[in-house]
Amino acid sequence: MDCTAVAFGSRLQERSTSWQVARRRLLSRLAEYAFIAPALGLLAAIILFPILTALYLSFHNVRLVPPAQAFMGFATAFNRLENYAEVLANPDFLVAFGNTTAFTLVTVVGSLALGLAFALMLDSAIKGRSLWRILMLTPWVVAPVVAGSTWRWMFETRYGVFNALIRTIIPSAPPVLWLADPTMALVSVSATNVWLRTPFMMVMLLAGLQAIPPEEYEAAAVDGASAWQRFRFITIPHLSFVILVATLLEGIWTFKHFDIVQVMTGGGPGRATELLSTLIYKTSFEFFRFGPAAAMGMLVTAALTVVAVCYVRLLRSRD
Amino acid sequence: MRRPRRAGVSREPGGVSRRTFLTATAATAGITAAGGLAGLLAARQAPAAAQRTVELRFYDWKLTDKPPRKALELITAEFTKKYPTIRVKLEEVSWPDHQKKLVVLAQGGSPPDVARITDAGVLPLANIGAIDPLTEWAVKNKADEFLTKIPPSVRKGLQFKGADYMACATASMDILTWNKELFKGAGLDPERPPKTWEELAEYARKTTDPKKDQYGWGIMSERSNSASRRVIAWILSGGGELFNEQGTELVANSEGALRGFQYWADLALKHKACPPGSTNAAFRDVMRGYGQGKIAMFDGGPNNPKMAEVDYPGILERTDMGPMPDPWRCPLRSSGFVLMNGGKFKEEAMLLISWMTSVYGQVEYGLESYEVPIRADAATDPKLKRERLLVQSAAQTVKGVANPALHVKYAEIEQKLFDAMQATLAGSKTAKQALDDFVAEGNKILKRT
Repeated sequence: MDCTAVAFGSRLQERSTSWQVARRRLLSRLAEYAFIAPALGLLAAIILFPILTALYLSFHNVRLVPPAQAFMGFATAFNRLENYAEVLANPDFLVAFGNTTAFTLVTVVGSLALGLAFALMLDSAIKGRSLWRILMLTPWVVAPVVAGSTWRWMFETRYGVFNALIRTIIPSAPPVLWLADPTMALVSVSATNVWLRTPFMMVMLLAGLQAIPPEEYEAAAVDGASAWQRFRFITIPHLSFVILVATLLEGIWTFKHFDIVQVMTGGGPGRATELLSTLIYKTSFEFFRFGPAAAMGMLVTAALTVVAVCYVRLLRSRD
Repeated sequence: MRRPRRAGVSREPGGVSRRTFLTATAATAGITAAGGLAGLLAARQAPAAAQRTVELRFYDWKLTDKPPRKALELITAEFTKKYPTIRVKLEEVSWPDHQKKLVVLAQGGSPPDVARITDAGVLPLANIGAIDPLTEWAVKNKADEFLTKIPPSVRKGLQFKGADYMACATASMDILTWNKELFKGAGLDPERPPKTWEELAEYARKTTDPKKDQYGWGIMSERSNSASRRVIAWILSGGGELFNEQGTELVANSEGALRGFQYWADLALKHKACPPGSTNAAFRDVMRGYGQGKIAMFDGGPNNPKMAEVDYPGILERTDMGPMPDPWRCPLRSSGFVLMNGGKFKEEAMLLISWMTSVYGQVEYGLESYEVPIRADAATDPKLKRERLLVQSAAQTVKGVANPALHVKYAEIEQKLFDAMQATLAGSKTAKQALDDFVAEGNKILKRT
């Protein structure tokens, strides 16, 4: 056998081997896709389909008809941007937008402040730390609807526990209209949501706190730094990224919040606690006006997408 | 001797091999598929079984309260005795959600066969094709009594494009309900209720004692049908109207309408006769206060103290009812049964509707629930005469006027009325500003195509 034949045979063997490798890789890749296909299909069905349907409805005049007459029972007629124009001119939408922004700000700031305080407490050498941790996480496991009903009773003007406490301390005090006064109602529902959301902030911040090297605190203590200086110049800089991420996530979740307000006030009194989510719910399921409701939903999605993009960019920059 | 490990079969120590994992996955998928296939086959065979025994789905918010539930269980059991092949499955739903859930069920393709709705729901549901007309079946079977016995003005208001969609069963008109003990305690004659609006305000003030947490008037203002209908009654009684004669425009900011609306709000704002926090007081709040003897009067039907009796025994005995003070012009509200479009068993459903709205059905239901039958021959049935409050309420109800709040877009307009009510009670708008805004905003809704 001459050298040429050997080289040819070797090349042939190499090519055959590389083809086999490629085939195996392809099969492996196909198998991977096959495994995730059901999950992808499910995601498309439960996320993509409703979003696309809402987008479609937002550009149409929608009339409900029996399901046998039209797809999903929606008889539609294209109306360009009419739904969006109507929504933006609707004073209720602007009120709901303002309320939602205020509700989100109070929730985020309140839960951040309380979450940080509790996280610092749990990070210190406090007695019965496990018990405190369980107690502080309790609101997280309570369903929002249950929390809303419970707090509604606690805020009740005549029979609620808060007014009973006030009466115990100051017997002549007039009852506080927690949910009946327009301003107090927004404060009360926001306070309830702060209670519900604080554990999330606490968990995030506690994880951040525990990642701070203790040597830095020891060095600062040796240098004579006060507790406030250690908090200001070590804790806060280390936690800044966690705070930013938690704030963005909390902001996104709270902006589309629904249950607490629906259960506690239904958006009232008047429109005092009307949020975008409760307004969308009423517009679609009480007035059956799915076009404007979908347009509102799309506007909220667009606003939240901007925040979500900031979040993703933030994570990437960190990486 | 240990078997040599085959190439390509990876296994972590103590883990599961790829082969075992794939086999288990395939087996699970196979079992799931077999189960699904069996289910499909069973579903295909179901119609054959259904021909033997039919199960009708009956949807009703009244099932959440004990007295009406007892009546409905009795009436449907009697129905099954008469038609042994038809069983009735009672499906309860909460009052605030009953209409939207019905729409969702209808649009999802699984509506109940028969549902109870209020008069306010008929036109919106008929407009979207969620309910079927009843006229054809009634004429074909020569069984149109459940339609012809409805007072003509009420029946006309419930028709959509000339067809009947609801078989009315009950009628109600809010009349004065008072606690005789609280009247006595305030030095008032419990046998002589207030006759004029001025007297009503005076009685409400006299029975109010915030130190005892006791108030003269129970006001309802939350976002519910119960509250808006009561306010409309005050608007009509003041001399106003909700809509113009053609039903094309809201006119509820007239002088008369303002008089009624202002009076309603003044019971809370000027006379301070309503419990604190009345800005969004619910029907249940008033019932609780009345049941506990903390509210002296409210505008309600005989079924209200009957409901309160369940939690506060003895309240029925302490209650009396009579006409509201003059001038009083109250809409006559009704509820009844509808045939759902997409329901499985139309013929059987119509038999049930016919049974529920018969004299037997209405009397038996009235006896337990304390709701006034809409049929005159049922309302005057001797069996009902032993129920004092029911008779007093029935006497007022026959004087009622047909409900003006029936409109395809009523749900949206009602939201604007709630805004007006709550803004006035919260003091953020005067009664006039609130009504003007209500009319302006409501008319925009009516004009929208």
